[in-house]
Amino acid sequence: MKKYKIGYTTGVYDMFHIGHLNILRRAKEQCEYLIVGVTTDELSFIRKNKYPIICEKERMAIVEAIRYVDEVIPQNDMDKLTAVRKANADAVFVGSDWKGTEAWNKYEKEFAEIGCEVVYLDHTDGISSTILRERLAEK
Amino acid sequence: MKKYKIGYTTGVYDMFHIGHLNILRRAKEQCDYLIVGVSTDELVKEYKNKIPTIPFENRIAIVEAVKYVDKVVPQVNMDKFEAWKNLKFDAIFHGDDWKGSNLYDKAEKDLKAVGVDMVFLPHTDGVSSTLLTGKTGIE
Repeated sequence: MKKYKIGYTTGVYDMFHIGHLNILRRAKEQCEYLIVGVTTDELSFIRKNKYPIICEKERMAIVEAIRYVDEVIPQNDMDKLTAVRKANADAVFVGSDWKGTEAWNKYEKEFAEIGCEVVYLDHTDGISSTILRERLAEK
Repeated sequence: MKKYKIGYTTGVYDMFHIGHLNILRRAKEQCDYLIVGVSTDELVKEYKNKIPTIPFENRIAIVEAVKYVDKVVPQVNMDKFEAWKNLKFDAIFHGDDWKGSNLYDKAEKDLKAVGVDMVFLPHTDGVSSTLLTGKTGIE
């Protein structure tokens, strides 16, 4: 019996790498059913003013093919509370690099009111989609 | 009941993308148990004269996490017949971009003699680790 029933985590998952995989594996270790919200191309553009290298259909297909993932949904907006409610999640997993930020302190309070905990997972050093973009640019 | 019992396919799987995933899915559609040989960094250096962007340990971990894959092994040389001696697969899967390449002529003959089928799978156009683009290759 795992600690949580339904876990929820989100990301862009551009150029799927070991850091993404580690988060998904550690999340699934703590929940029976893992739902992953994959950020759409549009939302990425709105937030970061650039499109991911890999389009959302392919990013979603790859996340869906990972054995730790039970369900994939598109993440169209930043309204996490609604997404958590819809998913009926009792845990939200996020990288520990977000711990203590104003946004996530606020999420912790909001989610607690609907019986959902925020769980911070270790971030994998030395790899990110940004680092991969740079490596690609060098080639 | 699938056509083959044990299938084998190999690759570098650098910056895992939809083309890799399509091959693994199509291979698994045709065999009960899919073994994937992941080329070591040394082997890639030897025959492509370049080092993969992602190190071997991370590449093999990601392939292992794909739900179509039953087992991963390091590929340390290009000798498919040698691999057969260890793994005893009855089908070997390749992207059809390799079809007609004489790299496999001799191996194909040797493998045929011991009852192994060589199965060519459609290659996903528009995406490769060499040419990483945002174009969709999804079906």
